[in-house]
Amino acid sequence: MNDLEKFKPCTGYCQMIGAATALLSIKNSLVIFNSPRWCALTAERELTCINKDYERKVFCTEARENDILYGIEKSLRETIKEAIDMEGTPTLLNVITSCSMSLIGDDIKGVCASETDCNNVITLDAGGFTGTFESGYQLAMIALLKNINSKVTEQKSLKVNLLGVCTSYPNWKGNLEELKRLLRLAGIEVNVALGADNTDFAELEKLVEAELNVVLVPELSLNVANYLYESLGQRYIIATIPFGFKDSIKWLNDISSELGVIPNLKEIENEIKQLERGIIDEAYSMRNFFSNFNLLQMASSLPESLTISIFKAMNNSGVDLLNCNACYCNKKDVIEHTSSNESLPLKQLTEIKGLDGKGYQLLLGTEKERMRFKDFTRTLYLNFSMPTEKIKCENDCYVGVRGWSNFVRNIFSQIKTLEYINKSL
Amino acid sequence: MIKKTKRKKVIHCNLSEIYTSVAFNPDIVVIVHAPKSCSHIIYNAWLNSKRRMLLNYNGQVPDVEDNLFITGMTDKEAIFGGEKLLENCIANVVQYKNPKCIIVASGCAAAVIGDDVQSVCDKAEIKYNLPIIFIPGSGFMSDQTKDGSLLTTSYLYKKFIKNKQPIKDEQSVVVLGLNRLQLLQWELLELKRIYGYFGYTNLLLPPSGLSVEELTNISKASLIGTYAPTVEKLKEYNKFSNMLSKELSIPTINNRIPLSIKETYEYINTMGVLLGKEDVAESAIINEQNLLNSNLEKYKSIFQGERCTIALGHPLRFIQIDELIFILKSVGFHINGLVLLNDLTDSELNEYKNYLEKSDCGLQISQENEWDYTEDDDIFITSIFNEKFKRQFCFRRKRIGIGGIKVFLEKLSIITTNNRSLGHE
Repeated sequence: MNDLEKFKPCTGYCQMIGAATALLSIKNSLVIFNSPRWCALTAERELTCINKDYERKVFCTEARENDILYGIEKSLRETIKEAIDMEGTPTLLNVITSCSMSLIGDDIKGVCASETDCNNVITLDAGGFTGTFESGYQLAMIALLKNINSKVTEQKSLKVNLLGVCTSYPNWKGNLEELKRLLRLAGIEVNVALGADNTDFAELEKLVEAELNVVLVPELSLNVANYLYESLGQRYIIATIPFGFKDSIKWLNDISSELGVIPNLKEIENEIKQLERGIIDEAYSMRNFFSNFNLLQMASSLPESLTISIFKAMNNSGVDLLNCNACYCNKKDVIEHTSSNESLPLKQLTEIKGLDGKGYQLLLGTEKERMRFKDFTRTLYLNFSMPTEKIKCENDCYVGVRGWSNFVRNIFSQIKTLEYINKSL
Repeated sequence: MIKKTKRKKVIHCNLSEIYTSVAFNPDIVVIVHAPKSCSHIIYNAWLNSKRRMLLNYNGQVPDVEDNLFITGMTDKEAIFGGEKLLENCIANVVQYKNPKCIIVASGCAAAVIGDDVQSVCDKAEIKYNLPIIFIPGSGFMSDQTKDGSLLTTSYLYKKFIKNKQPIKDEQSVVVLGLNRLQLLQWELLELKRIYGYFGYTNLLLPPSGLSVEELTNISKASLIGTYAPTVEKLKEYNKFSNMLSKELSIPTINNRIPLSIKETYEYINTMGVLLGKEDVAESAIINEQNLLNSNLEKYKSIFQGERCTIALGHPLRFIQIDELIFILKSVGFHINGLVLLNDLTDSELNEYKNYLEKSDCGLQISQENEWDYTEDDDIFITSIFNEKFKRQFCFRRKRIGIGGIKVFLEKLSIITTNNRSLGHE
């Protein structure tokens, strides 16, 4: 990588959006962006893609040059009043300060305290200076947890919290249901899924009841798990969201082992056998016609851990049509969870080149990102990061056992379509 | 809800517009001096524009890429200054991209900490013997809305137009304020049609899409036109075009590119007087009147007896309301009334009420909350999508010339003839 790579534009989302995504998942929560209007509108647009309702829950201090000179207090007071006038007193009031406004050092907390009766107020510096979407999400979650009244209490066995659920990933709801289903079949109960939309603030107090925290996406929840370990002594395990049949079984075994139990996975294994047969049959019939199909590269705007999970599942699936040679994603700092000995052909997303010669690529991202990769007739695409498709199929999932079947079906269907197009051209 | 605020201060981040205005220029590289997240906003705007171009121009997207870089200021630069980082970024861009010109646009954060970006650019220009232009892009640090495209054009003009009195090209017209990225194909054709009356066949839309060499052709043009969606923007542009006119000895039309029927006749008339071709203007106006009448007549057979309601969610300054009412009535629509949507702020609402009261449009005016939605079969002709409307046609805030009206009616007719519930202009 030459030095120019580090100056390429960012392909992730702003820290403010990450923080807002985390905080808006709490029922009756309001977010004030302490920022120029433009930054707030951009954030609002992204948040509205997640949930149209978020549009009325976000406000902006409309910072201008004068506020830099004389402080933002007056504008902030007016914004708080406006937010409460429009939406009523929230259960949780959040003020997220952008990079430029964080340089001034206004007493945001003080203004909030004097301006509202709201019992739970969170103020955060979450500009693009100090991090990206994922760090904003974690920062906000930790701030949120600091606000709850959690006393160390007796932890219930075989009960876990899921950390790293994020509404900015399409199908988060269906995915969460699948993970809960698998855990239930393995005899494990989910206590709180932190980050799930519409979570009651009071429900967070129940977090302490779980025996174990499961870190689903380390980039979104490793620091949160560490915080809970340090403050409440709650153990955690890094068990990245599983894709594929083998990974799902491994995932359940890993969590069970951490809980000190041997799970009964018979029902799940039977289900896998059924689904696997369908995939093998379909792959067999496709091989006759599409034997030249070759997946050259995969590009993902998901966090590195999830990308690796999907990439591994594809290459370990036993279906050669899904074998992929290279993988591009937003590589961040080395994360411990990837410390396996396998050397993965993982490259930085900004380094991706157009397709060379014959073959296809898989893009797991957004409609906008599709524009970057061109080669439309040779790109398989699934909306996997920020939800850009308006039709929400809440029960659709791509993770776990049922999700893998859905994933492969979608990929196969797209392979067929593109092969028909390309062969008829 | 950000858009409902009474404290709305319309400002734009110029960074996006500075980049998108030269995104297709083959020789120019843009460096943004700001936190990494700012580039996400710019990059997304670019991807959106690219998508629009791809879909509107049948895949003919210019093959210019990899020309946006960002310094990615962090909290370290916020404390110690970001000038070194910028120097390093420029050095890398020069080494690896070998551009003919670099534009450095600085964001809000750089402005707050007071980086001397101008001095860094001046030194680098001498060091690398390369034009390096600094454009302040921090939208919120100024008291007024500055147009990013105009800023870029004026800086490029200052840098590259040395020969101010070359031999003029009688067929070239410079149109300011229009970015090829944002222009629809038919809009370009409409412009060519209008200027074609007076023999202009070569349209230059600086700075978009022009190479460094081509930028110098601005001074060879023999007419200057301006596009501006609002009166305020027109004033800003006219200031620049009048300066150009004086320096380059080229006549300039101070009317904006016509966005209504009345403006079309006035524009052609002004052009005729300015160029001493009143007779050409006279016959062109008759031609335009005939074109309008034939289209109104044509669509009368389709719309006669249809019922509609006008819904407005954008401020008055963006909407030609009188003309909209005129067109709809002329093609046989029965207009039930006019709804002012909740998207408008109180002051925007009052502005509409005062205007409509004076204009005596003869329509029943209501606010969204008071509107009776019982007449379900009506088509809502709306400036913004509203989920409450069962059948709606979302119109654009601007349409160029009589050709624009033709496209408006053509698209609207799809709703009635195909019995669709949603359509867009």
